Amino acid sequence: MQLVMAAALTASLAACSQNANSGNGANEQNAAAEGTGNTQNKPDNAAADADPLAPYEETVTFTLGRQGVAGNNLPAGDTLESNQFLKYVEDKLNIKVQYDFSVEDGEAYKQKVNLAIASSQIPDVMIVDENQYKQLAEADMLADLTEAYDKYASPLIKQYYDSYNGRVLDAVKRDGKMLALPDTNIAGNNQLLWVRGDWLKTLDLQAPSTLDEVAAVAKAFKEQDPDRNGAADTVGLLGDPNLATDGAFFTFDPIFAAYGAYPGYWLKDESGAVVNGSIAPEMKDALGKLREMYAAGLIDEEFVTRKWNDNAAQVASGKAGILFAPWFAGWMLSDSVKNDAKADWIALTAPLDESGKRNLAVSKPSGQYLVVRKGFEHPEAIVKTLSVQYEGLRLKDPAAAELYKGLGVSWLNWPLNLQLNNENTVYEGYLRLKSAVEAKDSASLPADQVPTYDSIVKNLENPKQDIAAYANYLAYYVGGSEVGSDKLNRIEPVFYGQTETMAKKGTNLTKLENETFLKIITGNAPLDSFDDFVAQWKKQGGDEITQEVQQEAGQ
Amino acid sequence: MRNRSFILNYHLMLIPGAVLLFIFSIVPMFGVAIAFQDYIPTKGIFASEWVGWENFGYMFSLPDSKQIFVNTISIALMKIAAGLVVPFVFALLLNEARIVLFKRTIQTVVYLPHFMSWVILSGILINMLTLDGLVNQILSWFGREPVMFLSSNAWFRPILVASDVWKEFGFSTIIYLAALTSINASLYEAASIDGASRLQKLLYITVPALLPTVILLATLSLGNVLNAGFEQILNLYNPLVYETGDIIDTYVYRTGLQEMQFGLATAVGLLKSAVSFILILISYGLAYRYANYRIF
Amino acid sequence: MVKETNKIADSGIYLILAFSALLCLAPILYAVALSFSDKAAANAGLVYFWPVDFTLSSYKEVLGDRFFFISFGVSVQRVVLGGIINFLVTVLMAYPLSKSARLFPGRNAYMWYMVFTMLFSGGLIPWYMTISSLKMLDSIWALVLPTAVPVFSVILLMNFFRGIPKELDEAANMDGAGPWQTLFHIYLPTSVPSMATITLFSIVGHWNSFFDGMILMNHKENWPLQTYIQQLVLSLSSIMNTTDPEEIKRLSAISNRTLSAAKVVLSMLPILCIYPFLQRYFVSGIVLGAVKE
Repeated sequence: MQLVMAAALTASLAACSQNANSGNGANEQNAAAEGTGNTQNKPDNAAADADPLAPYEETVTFTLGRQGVAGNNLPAGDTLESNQFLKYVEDKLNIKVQYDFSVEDGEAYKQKVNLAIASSQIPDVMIVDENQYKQLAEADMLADLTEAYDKYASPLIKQYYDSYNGRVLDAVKRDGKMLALPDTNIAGNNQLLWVRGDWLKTLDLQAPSTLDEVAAVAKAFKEQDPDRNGAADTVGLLGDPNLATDGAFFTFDPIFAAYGAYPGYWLKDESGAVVNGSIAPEMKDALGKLREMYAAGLIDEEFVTRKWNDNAAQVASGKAGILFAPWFAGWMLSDSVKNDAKADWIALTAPLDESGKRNLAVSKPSGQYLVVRKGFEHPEAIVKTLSVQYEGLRLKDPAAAELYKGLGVSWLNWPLNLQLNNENTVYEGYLRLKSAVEAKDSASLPADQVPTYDSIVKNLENPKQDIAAYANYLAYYVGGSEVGSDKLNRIEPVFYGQTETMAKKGTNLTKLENETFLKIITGNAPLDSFDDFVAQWKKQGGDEITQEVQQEAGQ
Repeated sequence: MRNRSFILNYHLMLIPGAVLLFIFSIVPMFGVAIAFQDYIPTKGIFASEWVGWENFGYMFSLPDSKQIFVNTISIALMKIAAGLVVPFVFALLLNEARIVLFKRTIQTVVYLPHFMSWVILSGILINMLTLDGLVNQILSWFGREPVMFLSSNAWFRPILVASDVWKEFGFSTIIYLAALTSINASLYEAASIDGASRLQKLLYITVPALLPTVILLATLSLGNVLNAGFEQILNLYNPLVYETGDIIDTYVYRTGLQEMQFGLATAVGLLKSAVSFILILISYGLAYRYANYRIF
Repeated sequence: MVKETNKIADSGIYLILAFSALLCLAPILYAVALSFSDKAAANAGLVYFWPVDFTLSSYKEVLGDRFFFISFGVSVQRVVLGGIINFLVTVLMAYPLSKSARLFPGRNAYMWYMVFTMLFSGGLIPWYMTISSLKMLDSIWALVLPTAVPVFSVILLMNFFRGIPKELDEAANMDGAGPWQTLFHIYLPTSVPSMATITLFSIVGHWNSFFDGMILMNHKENWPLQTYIQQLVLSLSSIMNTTDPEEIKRLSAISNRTLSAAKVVLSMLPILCIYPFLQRYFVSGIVLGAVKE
């Protein structure tokens, strides 16, 4: 299964409060940097060396390729390529950003990057996925960022990376060189079970916790007319043709995990050998269960062809009342209130396995990589841009709060759409919000959490009147609280990276896997075709890959 | 002397087009070298390592490659067959219609879908074929269970063929209608005097008169056996129907642009180009030899 | 008796023809009906061929979409520029190629060269690299120059030119007209149906293509309309890659069946408008160029 990154950060999420006065910290850091090894000479820009956040004397321009912002909500006249955030960076650093390409669709963006790589004409800066990163690194197209990072990354940026104890940064090092700045995939993106609480009440059901109870609720939602409109127009559990993807909406990861199956992850079995979760015997049991549920109509019959927005439409129109999605699904779920004022969503950590645990494979630490073209003169300018951007984004610089104040403009309009945060930021943020709400006082909160606090209070006073406030409440408060559930049982995969054969044959294997599993679930192939699949998988390169992973993981 | 200046002017007229073709068609053809290379972008076509037929070997070792060739050929053949028969029948029917205004109106309407893009048509089709879409609603009037058309391997090919026929049948009648106008009217008059019925005239005069055209078109379509409709399928398919709907062009597009297997993608594309090229030469040869038809 | 069967046969034929015509219009009518329907009714699948809860709100929403109009403009620009280039190139190539190899010795070499480029291609990536190294990415020229030579149209027009009586040529030559005068004063005026046909083909081709826009245009501002619609209607699946709360929020607001239908309908309009005017020409245009006795 493709491991799509799900680092779900927002501008309004707080950094650790210990960093509240980063201004001083930054200065100390600079002094240290200056003292240790300032060998890089840039006569015309000497002043810039002194302080990561200090401007260049002569304008530095870099070209950028990145994914655009779908449905961008900038005020009229401003665009992704010309807006106040860019102006802010330019004013602070004398760095200009020139867009080489930006497209909104993820697949289309991937193609643009691939074409740029294929023709060896890449922009100075891009944000790429793991496969592309590997290609670029192997083709020797990337600048070494080690020194630039050491000297010019702000304490805030370093703090984010450090919260992962090196797991994130070590993964991008090649021969000791840092060829990229990875994003950070925060903890807590696992799917929660979201259920229409009002439907449970109507049908007099308990909140489900085991898989059988989940199935029972899906059955009741499908068959017992939970919306009481007299028509059989509701569906059971929603699904997505990707079946299992970390941090994705509607995928069945929790069901697989309840059987101890973790498709796509590399794990150690009892004997210490590395195995791929997709071919483990537990997988067959889980597929059998899904097949049974699908045949009984408990899963949305059409999930195979559903795109994200189709599912969102089913939620909004009150057809669906049970689904898996991460904590931040609040935004999508809140729409159903427009259609049905009684709609009320609850978040659960479910289904639990026999020992009462919600198993969970730990997410890959990062999936997006900020890379700089080899030969670009000022790699440090990129690190500085990132530092200044995050000072603004996290409101460490109070002046940044004035940019598009109150307009809810997407943070993605900052030049570098690389998501960085502390690993446990979601749950820590929730705990802070909770104590503030209980104390009815937001003074203890960092500046960037205050708007969230306000909307939660607003929704608690007038539930569901303001959709945006309700959405915030669902995401940060209802979903956020489940992120730290004590029922979670974290399984550590042994390997996240990509091996040589994987790059060559992995996509064909993934295709085989997805096709087979979809067919099994939808009843188009017998359950036992899983065994053929395992044999095929091994034969078509799976065994080779397993060996390579065994070697790399053993190191 | 005069003649020579004419020829010089002919060359002048052809040069802009020839130059444009050179830049945008001939130059990229050197890129087929990638099919024989372990292509590394920074090294480019000139410095990447040559690996001979390795990419082709890998292609044939993939279980997918057989599948996509089978899919491509069967979809294309079904489209060719249906695309010959339906317009033929439709042209015969249209020929029987006597009211000129009615005939004109019908023609105007049936030519129209040809001018719509697959992007637009796919958008509409997807809407029509979902579980709660138009087609399933109509099925439900007859008490039929709804069908998931676009994710069904049983339905995907028929949908491709049907929607392709739907888009093109009207437009394809044009050639048959033209051939119909060239039938000598005195044949029909003579038959009427002999007391032939309408059906007999159709079977013994009209159909035989059209047959050469049908055969000619069938021969010429041989070159399309590997073209199963890239834009249509790209906009309609999903992973569940790769088994029946993934064709050479979509496969090349995915492996090349989305998975960066440049060598493999170029090799598959090259194989397709070469086979198509040969087929087209054969079909043009046949058409010239037996129908005395010369396209250029 | 014979009359009776004829009548039945006739009504059968008329019925089938009328039904086929309706079938051709059905999807278009469905899109129109959707675009004028209320969002809720559309999502509930209540719309057939007539708008349910008639509303103009989708069209009003389109009016507020800046990028729809920008890409509409790009498409218009592309059609005009590309149409003119296609027309000139086609006419200039078809005329000398319509001469026999005896009159014009290089003719067959050009012909084979042209057909070879039509039948054989180097593949997507080398094609992209060529255009990219010409620094044409993101420029309107990338949409009109690579497709500047419509080989099929050249052949069509060439065959038509061949049907023009030689005597006309000879008479013109006698009067001292060179090839350029003959082409523009004698050939073109007698070839109106073929001209209209190839123009229609080139307009439709340019208007309908999305793939080159998707590959060659790096900024949304430069997308032609079909690329915009393709990205909008068919690939909102990208949300899988942007699991960011704010993204989700915005995207759930733009996923909208009726709005997409309105855009689809608007994008069909230009074709629907020019089609009736050119339609009366293209039947004769194609037939004369393609079927040779």
